[in-house]
Amino acid sequence: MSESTTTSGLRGALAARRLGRGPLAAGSWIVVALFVLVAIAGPLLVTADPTRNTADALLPLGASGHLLGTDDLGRDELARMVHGARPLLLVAFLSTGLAALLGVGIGMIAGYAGGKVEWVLMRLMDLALAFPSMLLIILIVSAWSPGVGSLVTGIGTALAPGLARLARALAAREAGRDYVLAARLGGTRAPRILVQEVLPNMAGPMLAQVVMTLSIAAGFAAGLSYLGLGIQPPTPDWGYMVQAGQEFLYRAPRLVVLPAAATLIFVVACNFVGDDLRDALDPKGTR
Amino acid sequence: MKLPTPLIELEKLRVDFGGSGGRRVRAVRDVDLTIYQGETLGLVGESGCGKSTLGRATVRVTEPTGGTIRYLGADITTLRGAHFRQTRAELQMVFQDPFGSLNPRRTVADIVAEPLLRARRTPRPEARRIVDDLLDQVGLGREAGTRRPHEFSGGQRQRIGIARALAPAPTFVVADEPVSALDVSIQAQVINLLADLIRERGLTMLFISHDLGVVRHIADRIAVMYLGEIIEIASRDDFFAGPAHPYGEALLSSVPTLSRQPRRERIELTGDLPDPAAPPAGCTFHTRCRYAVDRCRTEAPALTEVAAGRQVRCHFPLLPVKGPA
Repeated sequence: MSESTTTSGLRGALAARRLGRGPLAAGSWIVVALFVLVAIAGPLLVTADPTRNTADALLPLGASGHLLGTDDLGRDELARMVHGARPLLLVAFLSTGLAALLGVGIGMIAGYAGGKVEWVLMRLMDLALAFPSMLLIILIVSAWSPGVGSLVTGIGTALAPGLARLARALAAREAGRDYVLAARLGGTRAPRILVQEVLPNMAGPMLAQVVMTLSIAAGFAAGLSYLGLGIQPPTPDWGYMVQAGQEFLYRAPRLVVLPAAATLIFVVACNFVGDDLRDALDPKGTR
Repeated sequence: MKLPTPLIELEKLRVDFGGSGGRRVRAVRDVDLTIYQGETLGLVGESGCGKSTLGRATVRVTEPTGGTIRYLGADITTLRGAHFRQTRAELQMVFQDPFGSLNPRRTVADIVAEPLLRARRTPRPEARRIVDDLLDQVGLGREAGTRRPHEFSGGQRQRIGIARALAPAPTFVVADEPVSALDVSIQAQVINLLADLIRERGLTMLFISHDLGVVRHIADRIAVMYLGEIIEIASRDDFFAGPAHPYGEALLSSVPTLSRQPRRERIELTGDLPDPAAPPAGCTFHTRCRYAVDRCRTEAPALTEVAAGRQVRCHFPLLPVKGPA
């Protein structure tokens, strides 16, 4: 029995090298890492200005000086792709962070407190879930001016209830454990019990779900900027690039295919990473 | 012997589960019980009779549905806030499950220090000293403090649990089947350690167990519980000389003996514990009692004093002590 406790949890999963097993899982981790790397360091390596217009519009792939050609305004497509990773990943990560903060916080309080507090909080979450997410996000985003702030707020708020549900279930399970009762007997107050006793013991499954949420957030972020509710031009952004490229779908399909494929690959890879985390952290999978 | 002073007084204590609608399980039903300063009261009964719930309700980790809990004469049933946390630091508990009762993510020293830091607001350096001493006293050694629970065996974990319960210098400890999850070979060590520490400090203990052998070893008085009710209270010697309730008689007859005396008649209880959501009418034990008559099926007996310090909930208590059956 004691072996299972040593190998459960994130630390155990890392120690037992249970993460990234199999080509799909390993590949997904690498892809996500690459995207993050490109978003952070890419603009330092690809020095071409993604917003500088030139007379050389719609140059093809492999044109001299423009590896991926240029778009309809003669801007370097490679630079736009590399710079475009930043807003997507930034919005995806920040909104997932906001969703995790709200969702885990609300869910944990509901699950631990139980009773009326739980009822009120979870019915609020149900109410939020009853709206189609995209509609809710558009509602929130259009209440502000489009930009990173409103995107993060909208996506984060829309994704929080799903996480809250899981957090509630996990926290409710922990709340009945003897060590939580022992902490109460020792005079530890509820906020400290939540942070010190409950949260660390639900972190594993919660983390897997949060990473899954990351892929959904990325999908929403791309979708919104495609609709023009995201990062505003001329800042390059994959979602908007897909929309702008549609006009030239037959003459230069790469203008749509490249940003769309990049978005898709990132979303799918995040999903597999979440899957892998969940499998690695699942105590049943270890026995 | 000094006059016994009540430390904990339970009055009509009731714990229901399952809310108002539907099946309401009455786990603890109007229990009156007094625990005197310095004694160890053994609470026995079969699984599901409500003894753990009673123990938990006594220190309010499970909130009672009704009745009152008095500690040193003061009603603590509805006490809240800082004052409650202060008071309850004096009421501690050793849990049954050595695996579930320690947070796997924290070090042993942190676990044991927690009640000192929170309820007692002991400064950290002093708490450290107390924790080190406690870990020595429970036989783990202060080096154990830096390790985590999963590095210890079940018996060692119970020692950690005992150290934690004793950390805030309590006056009363509920031990909820503290050894039932352990190998028989180490049960005695843990029981003796607990008994010694309780005695040295002059603490009062509610010792919950279904093991009469263990209870005989450690308890001064015995309370027998059946279907959420106390059905017999007696001193240990009186009880083991001959229980007054037919249920106690059956329980005792199930304990194997090593003596050369003619074997006591083995009384087998048939059937299971009745559904606590729908207890039988009359005496709750009549469905399994071999002495049951019509009166038992209709009229519920009250807990009545049949001899000095001896209470029984039965229309026909088995008194005076009979000869070998």
